[in-house]
Amino acid sequence: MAPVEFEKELQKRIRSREVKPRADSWDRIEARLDAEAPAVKRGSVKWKVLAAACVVALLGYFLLQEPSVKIPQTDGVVERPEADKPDLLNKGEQKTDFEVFKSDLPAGVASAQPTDEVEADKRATEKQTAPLVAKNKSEPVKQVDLADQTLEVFPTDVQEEFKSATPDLIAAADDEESKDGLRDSEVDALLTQAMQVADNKGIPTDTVTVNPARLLGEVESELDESFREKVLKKLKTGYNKVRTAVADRSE
Amino acid sequence: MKVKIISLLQNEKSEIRKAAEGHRESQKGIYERYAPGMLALCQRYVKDAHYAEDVMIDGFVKVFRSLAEFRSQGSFEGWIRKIMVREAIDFLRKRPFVVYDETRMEDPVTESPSSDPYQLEALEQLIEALPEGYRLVFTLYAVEGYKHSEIAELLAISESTSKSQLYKARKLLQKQINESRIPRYGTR
Repeated sequence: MAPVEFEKELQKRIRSREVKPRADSWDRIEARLDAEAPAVKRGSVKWKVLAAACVVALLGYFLLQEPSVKIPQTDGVVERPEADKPDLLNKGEQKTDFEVFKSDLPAGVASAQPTDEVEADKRATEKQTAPLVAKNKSEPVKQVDLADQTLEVFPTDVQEEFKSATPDLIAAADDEESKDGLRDSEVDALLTQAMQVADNKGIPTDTVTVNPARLLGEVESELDESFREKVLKKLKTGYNKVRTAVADRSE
Repeated sequence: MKVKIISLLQNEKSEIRKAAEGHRESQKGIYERYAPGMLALCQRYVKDAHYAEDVMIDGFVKVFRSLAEFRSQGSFEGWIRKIMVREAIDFLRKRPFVVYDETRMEDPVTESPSSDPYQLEALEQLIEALPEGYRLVFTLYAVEGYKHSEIAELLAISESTSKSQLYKARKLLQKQINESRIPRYGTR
């Protein structure tokens, strides 16, 4: 079906036809375009806000992720930092402090000091020996308590092993004391004996001043020192053993 | 003459570019230049003048919205016409009063009317009086220059339906010309 001739003419004529639109047509188009333009702006603002929120969320996520370093878990044994450990080695250090404190005491200075300072030394010795003795008597018990608290961090079988070893150590220390140490009555007897010997030999006793309390304090401090040293040494050895055992076990 | 045409084309390109950027005065210039022809086009598809104007306004909004997509490969007017035709067809699709007659094609038209201006004016009136389906296909084919395949795609019909509609439109026009006794070329 070929296009007929009149259709070509018709096409020209019809396509050239024009109809004037109403006056408000452009206003309607402009209103539509104005209405669409802010919508586009609002849309772009929405996208910008959304993008900014995504960036902030990602930054927050990564910042929160950084500090959360995973701590490797151990099999039931919690290792405390060295500073937090109330271990017996620290007690050893306390002992060292105590020894320094004791070295400052005038207990062993009696022979080196002049006679006129003896009374002042006596007062100082009386003041410092009393708390020292009391401290020495109570400290082993206290140390065991602390050891018990320290042992709470170890497994039960290790605690039992340590507890069973502690009384033996204390008993051994008591034996040492009874073996080497002197009782008050023995000291008094020795002093009386010495006085008698001096009287028999005609030595004037007035010229020699003997202070039994000072002597007693000196002896006791020496005894106490050895006792403490031994007990703490034993405890330190025991603790090292336990610590090595725990370390081996955790490996 | 050639220089004048080139200058006009360059002016139009510049105006299109500005309009695409949202320059309101350029958009208004384009509207004022093409609106009368586009409203006539819309009225060929949508008989009601008010609806036709609505279609034209929708079409121009689409034109300005998609101006950035115009690549200057064909004529700008042709590009606008295509948008307007699609807009008019979409409008008609939403209104189910277009009925396509699916009856079988008969013998082709052998006699063609004259191209006399008087006859052509009378023919325009006859075309406007055609049934909706005939008129649509006839206008798209004979006036806008669409092929049957394009018409089929636009109107969502088959190509054979498009052909039969065109045939029937021509036959009806011939019958009406004969009945109305439109004076033949040279008889007046």
